[in-house]
Amino acid sequence: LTILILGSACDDVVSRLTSRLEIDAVPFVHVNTADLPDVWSVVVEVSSQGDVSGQFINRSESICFEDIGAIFVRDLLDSFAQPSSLAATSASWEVLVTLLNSIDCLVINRPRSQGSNGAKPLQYPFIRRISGLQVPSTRVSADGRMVASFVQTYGEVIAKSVSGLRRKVHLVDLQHASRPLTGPIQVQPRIDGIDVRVHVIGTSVLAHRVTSVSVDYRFPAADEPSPVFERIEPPRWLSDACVRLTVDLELVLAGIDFRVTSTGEWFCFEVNPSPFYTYFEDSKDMEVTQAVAKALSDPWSTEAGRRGKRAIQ
Amino acid sequence: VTYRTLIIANRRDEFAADCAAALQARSVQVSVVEPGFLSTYLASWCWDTEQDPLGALRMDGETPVSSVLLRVAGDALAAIPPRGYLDPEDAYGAAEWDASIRSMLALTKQPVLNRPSWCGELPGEFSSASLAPIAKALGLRLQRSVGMIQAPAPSYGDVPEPDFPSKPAGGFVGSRSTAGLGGVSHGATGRLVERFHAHAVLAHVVGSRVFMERSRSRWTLSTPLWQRTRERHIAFENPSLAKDALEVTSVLRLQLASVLFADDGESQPALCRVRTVPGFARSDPVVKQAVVDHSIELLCPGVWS
Repeated sequence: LTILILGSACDDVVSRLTSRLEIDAVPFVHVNTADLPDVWSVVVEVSSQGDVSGQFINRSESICFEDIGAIFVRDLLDSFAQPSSLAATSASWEVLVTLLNSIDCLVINRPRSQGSNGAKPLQYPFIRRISGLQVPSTRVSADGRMVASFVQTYGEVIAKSVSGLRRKVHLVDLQHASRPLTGPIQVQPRIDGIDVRVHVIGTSVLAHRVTSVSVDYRFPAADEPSPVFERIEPPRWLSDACVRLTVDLELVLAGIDFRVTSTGEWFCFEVNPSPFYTYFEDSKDMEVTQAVAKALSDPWSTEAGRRGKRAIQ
Repeated sequence: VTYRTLIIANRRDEFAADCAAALQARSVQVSVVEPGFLSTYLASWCWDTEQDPLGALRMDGETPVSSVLLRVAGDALAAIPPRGYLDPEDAYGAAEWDASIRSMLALTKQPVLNRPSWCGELPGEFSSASLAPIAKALGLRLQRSVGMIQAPAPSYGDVPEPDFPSKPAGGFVGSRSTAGLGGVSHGATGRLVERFHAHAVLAHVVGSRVFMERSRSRWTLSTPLWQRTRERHIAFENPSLAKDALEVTSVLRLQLASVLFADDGESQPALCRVRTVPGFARSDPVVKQAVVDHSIELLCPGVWS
């Protein structure tokens, strides 16, 4: 069985993973989504029993779905080459999503499991219910007066996107809140503390502490130092909670964001189903990449892989 | 108790208009809002996520919204036209509105037809291909399909022809959802679906009730084209298919849906698609009225007691 990597060759996560697999001499095929459909063709057949079969084909080789043991997919829609038409993009998306949601093998991660991060307030009750983790008090409003009253209640307040679009987290003050808003914003009290990113791969948990003076460490200002990442061992209860969250969201790989206060309280911000983990890991050790490569090489070691195996049996 | 139902629908949606009239006849207040005006309607909305997101949804002086009938789905909700309130250039703002509304409808404990899934998604239609895992789990016969991604003029060999046994009236046709892909010709990106010569059987699921109808004639057409005939359907009963439809919608967590089967009267009817915003243009009037009546009962259960 081979491993299929589906993603753009320009993506750092994809390029680091393929390098790792090459070093480990693990057989894999990388289908660069930018090469669809000019280099690679795909056909996905759905039978009257609901079985999915098909293949990826290029000039020199074809890969039948039954020969695929695991799939790693990265930012599927974003990584398509410039589409000739919207219909072509939509159709390509439908074909690949059918495959990835239905194929009986380990998929990191299936498209159907990635939706919750597209509307962040949806994750909060889920996080609380499944893991018991704390989430920040949150208000969503398009009314500047209501944002201002939140600022008056909490003092320092941050605003972040409601949707899955990547946008800089910024501070909101009364003056800012009194300006007309162009749409709803999500505001939360600013929590003082240290950022921690936890990556879950199957049942493996790898955590990094982020040292930064910026409001949003991903976007330091010109006069601010870059963030510093350091591997830490998370408490056992936190690891267990993160694995539980990941499994219940039907994910195999997740990046979970926390802030830890000086009194040891852990606040969970979100679960990212397509984490940019190479940003956090040491480029020499590549621990997260190695864990992902291991899960792909030995898919039955993960709960999702075992579920896939049961489905096959 | 005073009820207020928010109906999010396009202006020409007859089913929405029928539901609005039926609700008003029972003294339920109704606000019908087109998707393009949702941002204006929600401009003063404020939701603290520990509370119910519909609790604070009201226009000045109006009764708070107690239920929602959502008659737009999929990309239609995502593409909220930024009229008036929102900067037309601000795609980010549109995405934020979309995510806010999806969260609101998914998380409220008040009745919503149909509620987006726990991860905020509500496709307008589940194609036969996307229903594959459900059909497999429930042992249902599924309309076959072939999806392909292929360059229009590949310099190497074509993707092989679908190798399915074809009945005399069978074969495959291009799906309307991927229109523009060149019909059944290869060398294109799109999806082909099995073609039937059969009756279209529609199972309209409303909560735990199922109301069925079928086309008077058999059609040798792809499933989307069934809608184009002017012939009205007739009421129909098939307890076995009704049970199948209920099971499918239960897995999809839909309260209001139309499940389409192709029934040639000889083999097991084939599951073709599920629509979350059903249309009733060809429906038997009695069936349509039953769906309206039971939909508003789900929206405002108190008005019946």
